[in-house]
Order: sequence, then C-alpha cells, then structure tokens
Amino acid sequence: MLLQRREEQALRETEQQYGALCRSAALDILGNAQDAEECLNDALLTVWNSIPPAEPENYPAFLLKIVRNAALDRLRSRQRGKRGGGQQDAPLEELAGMLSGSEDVEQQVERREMLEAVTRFLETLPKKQRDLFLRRYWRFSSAADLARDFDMTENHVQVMLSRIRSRLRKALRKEGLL
Amino acid sequence: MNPNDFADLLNDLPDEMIVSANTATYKRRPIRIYIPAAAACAAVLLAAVLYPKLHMQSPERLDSTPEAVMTEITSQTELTEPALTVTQTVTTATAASRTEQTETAQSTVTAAGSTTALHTTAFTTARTVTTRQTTATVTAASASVTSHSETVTAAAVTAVSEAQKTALSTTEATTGTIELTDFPEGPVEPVTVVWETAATDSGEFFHNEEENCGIGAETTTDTAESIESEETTTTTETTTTVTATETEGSL
Repeated sequence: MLLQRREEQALRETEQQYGALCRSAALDILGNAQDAEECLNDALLTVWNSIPPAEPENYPAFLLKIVRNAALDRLRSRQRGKRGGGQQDAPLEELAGMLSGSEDVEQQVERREMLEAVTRFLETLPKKQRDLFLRRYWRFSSAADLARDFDMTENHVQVMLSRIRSRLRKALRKEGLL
Repeated sequence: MNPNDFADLLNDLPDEMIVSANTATYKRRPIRIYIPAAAACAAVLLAAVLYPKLHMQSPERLDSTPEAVMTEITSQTELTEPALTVTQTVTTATAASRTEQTETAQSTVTAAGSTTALHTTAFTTARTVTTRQTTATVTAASASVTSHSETVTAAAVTAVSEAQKTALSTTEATTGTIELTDFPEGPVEPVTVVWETAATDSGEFFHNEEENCGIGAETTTDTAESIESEETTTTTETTTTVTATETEGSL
C-alpha cells in the first residue's frame, strides 16, 4: 500500500477514488461546500499521519470515519459560536428525544455495551432500513436527500425513521440501557 | 447519554455497515422500468410467431374413418359414459315435467283471456244471431267459474267458440257435440257441450228464448236495443242453440 510506503501518490489516488464520497459525507454533516472541502483536506492529513502505524482492514470505512469525525469536530466548534438552527441540528434533536430520560442510567452503562446493543439492533433491520438509519444519524443526510437517494417520499422517510427510532428505543430499554 | 455521544458512538459501528450506508443506492434506474415492458413485448411477439404454427398443425389421423374413430372412442369411454347418460336422462325428465306444468298454467290463463275477448267481441260487434247466442253461452260458461275450476270453464268456452265458427260458416242446420274429458288438473267428470244450428229464411233476427246450460244454467235474451243496432240486412236467419250439459250429475 502506498500509504505504508509514505508515498504522496496515495493521497492523490485517495482523493481521486474516494474524494467525491468523502466530500458528500462532509457536506451532509456541515451543510457547506467550503467547510466540506476543508474537512476533506483535514481528513487526508489525518490519514497521512495515521498510516502507518494504523493498518485499516477496510480503507473506505476508515477514511469515512475520519472524515466524519473531522466534520463533527468542525460542526461542534461552529455550534459553540452560534447555536443550532441548521439542518444538522435536527438529527441530534431527534436522537435527544429517543435518549431522553437516560441520564440516570448513563453513568452505569458503559459505552461499549451501548455500541454492541445498537449494532445488534441494526443487524436485525432490513438493509434498506439500516442504510437509511445510518445515512440519517451517521452522515446526517437531509430528508430530501434521503427521499431522492432511496426512491421514497420525504414523508415516508420520516415515518420510517420514526419507527426505527421507536424500535431502537424499545430494544435499548429492554436491555436496560435506557 | 446525550445525542453527541450517541453520534460519536455510531462511528464505531462495523465498517461494513458504514460503507454500505454511504455507498448504497436505491434509486430506481430508468432502464429497469422498461424491463417488464420489454419482456411483455417479447412474449407477445413470441406468441404471435408460434400461434400460427400451432394453428396450422394437421390432425393426427385424417385417414381414419368415422366409424373407426367412434368405435375407439366408445371403447375408451365405456366405463364413464353410462354414468353420464343416466345423469342426463334424469335431468331431461325433470325439465320436461317442469315444462308441462308451465304450459298447463299458460293455457289456463290464455283460456281465461279468451273468455274476456269473446265477451268483448260479442257485445261490441254483434254481427249475427249466432254471435249473440254464443255470447249467451259464453256468459253461462263464465258463470260456472264459481262451481268449476278455470280449466273446465276455459275448455267449455273453447268448445263454444268452435260451435260459433261452424254456425257462421254455414246456413244449414247443424248439430254437434263436444265432449270434454281430458282436463290437465286431474279426475274431473266429463263435460259435454252440445250445440245445434237451425237455418231459416226469415229476415228477422233470432230471439234466443232459452238456454239450457248445465254448467251455469243462465239464460240470455237479446234486447231490442241490441237488435236494432244491427243495421245489417240479414237474409238468412240462423238459429243456434248451444247447450252445455253435464253428462252425469250437476257440477
């Protein structure tokens, strides 16, 4: 792998092969093309610094996670200056509704258990519903974009997401995580 | 756990889920819309090509004689055919019975309608004495409805009608007897309608003096008004006495 050999060509090929995907994911989270471009550059720099020693088994997933973390960091720093109001706040508000009342349990539950529970739940979902859920809450895509990409109406998207959240909440409660 | 923590947590989901969610496309490609239509067109074309060929196929045994084919078919269907025949016979018998009942009912209704028609014709046209006398007889027959069934009455009316036709067709004295025995409704004692026509050369109208009708025992005499209303010059006076009597007893 070029990155392991510290060749800059690796970054150009990464940009060429995954640039559009990473830029699109960052744009969904940040809602601003310029911020998305800067986020992509930050992510490439992080990748360059991470490999080696990191040896990711799934390079696209590794890259996307770095892009997302960079976008979320940028989003939070921006929100600290100006609070909310954009489309990126909506997914967090929806999750807040699902997670409400969990403060008391929060200290008792380890993050790992929650992750495993969510993973188990997502594995039970049909692929389309799982992808829809992650596109909304992992990538923060808007309902309009989801409706276009999943060949559904916006109303249908909202209804399906609401049902998935309800089922996830029920599953987490069943396991004592909420 | 707050939403930001949950969002961070999602970043640790399995790689396959994340890549799938970011790369999967569910948008229907336009070409897929036309695949079913193309398949349907292909099926229609295939059928259009194959159907004429199937239609033009000749029968297997054009050289076989009808007798040979019939014999073979009979031998092949020997076990199942009788059962079918019995069933068909029963069905036919049932249908015939129903038909007979229906026709009987219809004839009864028709006869009752004829009674009315005869009344109407007699009282409105009254062309001849015979008609008037027939009218009287018909009236007598109608009067018997209370004591006889409609079928018997209708039969009597039909017999009187026949007598009327005979009387109109000749100026000679004629007599006749019609015995009514065959009634669909069952064992009814025979009813005999005796009619008699007397010819005279008088220019006067005949006055029916007496009607001896065993069925209704009603006597009708022509009124002067009805006679005067007849402006037809009648050169032949026809006397017709139609008597319907019962052969045995009083009905």
